[in-house]
Amino acid sequence: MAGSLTPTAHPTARPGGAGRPRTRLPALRWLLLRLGGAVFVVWAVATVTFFAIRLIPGDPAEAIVGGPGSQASDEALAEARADYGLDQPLPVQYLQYLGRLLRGDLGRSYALRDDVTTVIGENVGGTLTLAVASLALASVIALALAVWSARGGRAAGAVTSLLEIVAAAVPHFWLAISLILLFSSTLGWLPPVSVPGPLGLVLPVVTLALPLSGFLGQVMRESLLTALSSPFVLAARARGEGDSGVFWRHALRHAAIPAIGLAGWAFGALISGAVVVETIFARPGIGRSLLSAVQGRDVPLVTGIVISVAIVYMIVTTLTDLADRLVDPRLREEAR
Amino acid sequence: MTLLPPTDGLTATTTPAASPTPATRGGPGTAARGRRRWMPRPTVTMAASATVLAVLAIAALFPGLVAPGDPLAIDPSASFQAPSLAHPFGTDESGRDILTRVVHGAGPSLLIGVSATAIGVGLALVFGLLAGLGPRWLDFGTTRLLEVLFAFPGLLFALLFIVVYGPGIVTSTIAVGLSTAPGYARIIRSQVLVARRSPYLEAATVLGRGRAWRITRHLLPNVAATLFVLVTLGIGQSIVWASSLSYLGLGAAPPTAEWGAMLSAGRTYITSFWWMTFFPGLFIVISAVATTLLGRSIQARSRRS
Repeated sequence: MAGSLTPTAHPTARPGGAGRPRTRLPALRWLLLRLGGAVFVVWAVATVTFFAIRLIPGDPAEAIVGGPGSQASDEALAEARADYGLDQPLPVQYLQYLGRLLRGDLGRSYALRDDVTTVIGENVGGTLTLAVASLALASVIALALAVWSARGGRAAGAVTSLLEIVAAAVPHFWLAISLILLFSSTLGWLPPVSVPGPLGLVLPVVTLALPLSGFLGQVMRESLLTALSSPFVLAARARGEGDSGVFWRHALRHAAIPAIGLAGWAFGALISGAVVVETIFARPGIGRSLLSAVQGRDVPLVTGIVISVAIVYMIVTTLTDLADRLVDPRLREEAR
Repeated sequence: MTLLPPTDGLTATTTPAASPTPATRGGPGTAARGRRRWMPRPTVTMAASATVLAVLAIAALFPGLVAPGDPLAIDPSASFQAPSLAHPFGTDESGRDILTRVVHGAGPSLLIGVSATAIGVGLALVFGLLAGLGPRWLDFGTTRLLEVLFAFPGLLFALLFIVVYGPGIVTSTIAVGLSTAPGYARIIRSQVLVARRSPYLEAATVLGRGRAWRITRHLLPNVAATLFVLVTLGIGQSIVWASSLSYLGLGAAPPTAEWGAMLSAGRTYITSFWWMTFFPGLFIVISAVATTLLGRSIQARSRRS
């Protein structure tokens, strides 16, 4: 919906670009700076993660051979150390780690004895399906709430506002439990654990989508109301546009902009939610792998997932910034 | 990293140009709404949510007054009883009364939420003021640091922290506090920057007030209003996230009468004994909704006046 936004629907769009005030940052320079910043953040995340896990008390070799109580022989420990490169000095380990990262190698899981990239590859599909479906459902609900509250008068505004706050405040796990109680235990309509197929997807998706729709709805309603009271709506009315034309063609498009800016945040919320939702519904995915890795202190798997999430997060935010600039001409004129 | 999403005018969005100026807010008609009062009359929402929070606070401070029983008293003969007059919320696997445990759990649960918020907002205040008031290089450094922290979205930083320091009630509280700090810091920084460029601060400079006077008498009070809203909204969010960690077995451990831990203990019995998880969860929802409503209504009021 972002791409279809025309500059004429915009309050500050100036015809012919006359009288542009500040210096214009060339698009290419902006893009390079943005990409450089993204690479810096990923490097910093990798570094923070690398040194953070060195703070873990205890010998990592013991974790590899099966936890502190395993009473492994010295040879087994030495072998594990050599195997995972832990016998090297720390700076060497760090450089080797960065080198492996550049080649796309995230190390090997302690517990699963498998490459972290393989584990992620096996699990990413389930989480992606869940996240995309939830995001779609949440957007539909949020949009419906925003439209209803803007067009339904005072009472509708108060009701939707309350609904959004309650939805945003409900913890995923409690929502999941309540939905299981209602739709599985009592009504018997849907399976309590995620089974393959669309039926098993319903409860996890609804659980993940409802809190998200509360947050999205608040933002969309706010920007919709701001848009409805802004001069360009008045101008559209003055040109003889009808109520529904003003609403659907101008205000609603304008209200979409802040929602695009939330994409990075929504991604984080979906990943965090997936940890809980995938665990409750026993659904294979990144979130559940992350939780079991945290519980088992499977350091390579945790760091691998954290770094992958950071990379995807940076891609998402860079793309949304790019989309924002394409959609909103004001941002192109900003110079620092 | 933000647990609170960047909603409304409080936040600068990810884009640099979007810092909202007071003039664009409010819209037509808001200026005419009533005269200013020193102590504004509370709205219905404000009063209702404040009352709920007061009741919860009483339960947290004097649990024995509200529910005289022992939250840890075991009665194996009365295990897994459904809600009844004797046990309005039922009993758990050891025959402990859930209502008593929920009341006694208010203290730890609210304390976790308050402490995590204090850690998050405290750190954020330091970072936000350093970035907003310090020299350019400090702002640059702090902003880059926040950007890095934002790349650990949601619970990720908390989970990494727990991997390093092990699960438990203290680590999960600190973890939630640290995860929320960058979001608050960005809001506080943008508020400081808005206040710095404001006409009233310019006026104070023209009047010859010193830097310390301007910061303590003009800038901080203006940031404090935002801070109050952030804290109110943050407590509810922190309770939800901390209890999520407890539920996942990374926070408070089951024998404790803490809402998240009670949920975790009831996890295995979800389908057979629903009351073990339903009621503690209900109270998490109630406290989160009440704090959010209070925060939002204060925010709406401060924007209107």
